[in-house]
Amino acid sequence: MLLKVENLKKYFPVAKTFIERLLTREERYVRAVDGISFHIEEGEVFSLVGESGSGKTTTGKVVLRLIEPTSGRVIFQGRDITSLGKKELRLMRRHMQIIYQDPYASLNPRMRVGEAIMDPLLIHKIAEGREAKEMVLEMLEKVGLTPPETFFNSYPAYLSGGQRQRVAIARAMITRPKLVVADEPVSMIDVSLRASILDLMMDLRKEFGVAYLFITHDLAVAKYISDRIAIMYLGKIVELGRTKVLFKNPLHPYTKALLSAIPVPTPGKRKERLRLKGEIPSAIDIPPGCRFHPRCPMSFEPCNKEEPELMEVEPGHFVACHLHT
Amino acid sequence: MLLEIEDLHVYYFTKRGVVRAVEGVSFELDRAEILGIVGESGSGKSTLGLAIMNLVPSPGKIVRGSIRLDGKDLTKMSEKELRDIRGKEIAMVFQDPMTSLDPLMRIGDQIVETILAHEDVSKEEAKRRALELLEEVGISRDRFNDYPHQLSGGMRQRVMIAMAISLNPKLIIADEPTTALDVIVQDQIMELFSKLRDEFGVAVILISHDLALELEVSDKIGVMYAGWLMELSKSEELAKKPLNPYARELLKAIPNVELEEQELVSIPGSPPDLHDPPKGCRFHPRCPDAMPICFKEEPPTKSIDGRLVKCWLYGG
Repeated sequence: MLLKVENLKKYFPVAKTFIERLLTREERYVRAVDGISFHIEEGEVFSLVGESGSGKTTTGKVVLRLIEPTSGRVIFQGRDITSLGKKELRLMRRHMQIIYQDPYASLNPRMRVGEAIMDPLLIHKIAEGREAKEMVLEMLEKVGLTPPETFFNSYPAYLSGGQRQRVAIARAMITRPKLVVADEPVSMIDVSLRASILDLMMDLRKEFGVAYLFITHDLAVAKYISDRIAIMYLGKIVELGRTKVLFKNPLHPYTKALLSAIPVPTPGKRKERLRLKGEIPSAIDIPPGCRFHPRCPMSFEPCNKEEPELMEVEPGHFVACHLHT
Repeated sequence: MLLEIEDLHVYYFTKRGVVRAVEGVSFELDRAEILGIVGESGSGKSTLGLAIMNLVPSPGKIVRGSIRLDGKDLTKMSEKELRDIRGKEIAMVFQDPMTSLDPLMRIGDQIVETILAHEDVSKEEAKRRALELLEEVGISRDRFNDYPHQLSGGMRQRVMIAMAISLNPKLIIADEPTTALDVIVQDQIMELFSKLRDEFGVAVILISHDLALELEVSDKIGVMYAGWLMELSKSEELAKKPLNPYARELLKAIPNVELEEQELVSIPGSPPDLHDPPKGCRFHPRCPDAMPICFKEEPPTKSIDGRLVKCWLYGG
């Protein structure tokens, strides 16, 4: 097992106005990630899928300790990274990298592409000089930026969005990480180019054995690349399972609603829909009991009182819903 | 016919040169029809939407062509005549409702103002209608006094749609109306557009990068690439048998969750810079079917069984 996340929580304090501070001592929190557990195997593609406000991006950042968790453990290759000191954490970073959503914001505009990709090699003292340059050229070729010499010397401004995302991928892969957190890596890429970026990520997995924690709002993309998928709602995992099982036999009403809302490119065949009312509430005022119950069409007696736990209903298929306990 | 667009050309006159953002676009739209305009970044789809309202921002200009709404050519109207048409006959909904809503004004009052600005009715009557409109788009009446920041993204977009339909327009142009929203909310908003079409006979031009969404909700679809309308077909026809190679390749690039196994294909290369578009067919550098003539000459737009296609595969 490459990564194990145990009961991870991340609460952000809510800034209070002056009057609120006078009136109450009570601190309020955004419970962005509210106790989630999952694991990722070596070389696996594991997707966290959810709407905005579900906590998926925060989870990715906490896993890399780009932000500190409130509680819980993140065990990477057998070591709890939440207890590592700064220096040890830095050493660990070469094995855990990240690819961001916006390839226009994630690259330094004043740095040549080659330098940007070489940077991690220098930081982690993996290689320098000629050797480092050779490694970068090889990586440019692998991510499809050819001829590599030309791309080595160009600036991000001269590249298209798809090419920039390839640079970001090269930069993440150059240290041969074991885990890459990919946060919506294709959502800003033109539709005609998305598949090529996803296919590149899959090729690199085959070659380097890297695992991905893939964060997306797009279930169709998640289906295309994932081995397993976890569905998040308001800071919790509501369902988790192998991709095929999840699509064939979704159990949580939220998963069902999400699946039925995805547009399908088949005209005149609007599916049976499980319609939900309203939108995801704020993570400050989380509903009592099952946090999904106010929007759930199947809600019944225990749902507004008891919070359902994530239970294994068939091997490897977990769901947090009173209908299935 | 409600809307007839003929040979529309919209250019931006920038310091770096002329950007031919929309070139030679023609199509028709009837009442109670949803037309999807699909394209990638830089395809000219948003410019087309603005041009229909004669709202192309400077340095852009409609340089040729006509836009007839109920037979009247919008390109020949004065600014005053256009102001009467906008809102009343054609309304627009944008991607980000926050930029179009006044943050300091209660949402109910914003709808009331829109009605009062265009129609000679009493304040009470306008308020009564505003309350009805909120209900129509699925917002409870007690939200009338809320400010935009108190609403979620989906509710703000509903307010925008309420404002758009407040003057009973014949045509709504919606430019990426759900791109900033989650899929469940997107589904709710699309349901609302379908309802406006079916119950009130409103025509909708739905501009989006999302072909799957367009295929699901639109009656017909125009596929744009680099400023050109590459194909215009009924949605079923486009899904079953796309004529233009770009439309065909784009269909292969979108995931379909209903398929058990699927191989996605991407189109090599990227959309061109419209300061300097490729010679001949603008898609030829990325086209798997490119023939010698495609490198040299612009393909004509052909009409085949009521569909439009711009491609040399269908002859000159």
